[in-house]
Amino acid sequence: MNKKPNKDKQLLENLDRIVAGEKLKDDSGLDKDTKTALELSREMTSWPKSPSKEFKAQMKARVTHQLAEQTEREAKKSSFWEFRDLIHRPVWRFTIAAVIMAIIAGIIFLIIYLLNR
Amino acid sequence: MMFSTMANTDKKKLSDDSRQAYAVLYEQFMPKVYRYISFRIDDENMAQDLTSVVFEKALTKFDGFNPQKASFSTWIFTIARNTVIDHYRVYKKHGDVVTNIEIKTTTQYPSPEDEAIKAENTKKLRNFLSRLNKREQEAIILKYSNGMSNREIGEVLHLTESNVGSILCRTIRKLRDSFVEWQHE
Repeated sequence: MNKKPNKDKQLLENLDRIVAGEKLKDDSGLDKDTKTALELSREMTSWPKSPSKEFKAQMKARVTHQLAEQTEREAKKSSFWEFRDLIHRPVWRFTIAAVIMAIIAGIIFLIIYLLNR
Repeated sequence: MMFSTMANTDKKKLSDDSRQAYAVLYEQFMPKVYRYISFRIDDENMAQDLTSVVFEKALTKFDGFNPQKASFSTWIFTIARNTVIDHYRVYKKHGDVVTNIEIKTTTQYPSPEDEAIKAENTKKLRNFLSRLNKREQEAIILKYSNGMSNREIGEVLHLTESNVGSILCRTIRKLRDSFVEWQHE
């Protein structure tokens, strides 16, 4: 009754060993079908290729460049925010208000002067 | 005002940290993603291009990556999987495992006859693999390309761990049956 789940368990446990690159401890307890399945599994783990050294180097250069670009972009963005923060400081607010008041007073003074001439 | 400046400084620091984290994760996962893609894409140049696309997407989306929701492995393989699916959609091909792959022989098989037999077996096995349904193929590819655990595969494919185990057992047996049957023909 429990034969199939046990076989599945054996298969999965041994499959994990194969994909981890480990050797099978003892396959004497395995049935022929499971052994064949594991042989095929071992064969399939050899299929995927690893990236070449050239590609690795190329990719690393590209990623480093992208990260540097991102850092630069964010530095620009943050310097804009720092400027915005700066003009919102009370001292700057007071200065800007004083300059505006002076300009308005100048304009009023100029109008009065021209009307009285 | 002070808070705003502090928040910006913190944000910048966080970004610097996340860039460093990305660089570390990139080193760890690039070969794995490449292995996964090369299992599915026959063309080496295309596999390289797609790997590069995966990491460009990952970098763009990295600020939105939440390690509490999913591991980086699950996140990056989901991006890789979707990138391969998009590739096949564009090329109007069926997203199958390639069957016309160049068989590289090793010195383990000394005689040309042994090499030919191994090449033929591999070709046939790939052919059987390409006949499986998409979910079975995905589970097999994630398992054999990078030795992912059943839980990790489940996270990428939105399946439970035990479900992945059942799919793997059934699929491996299916492959074995087809292979043995072919050998006895």
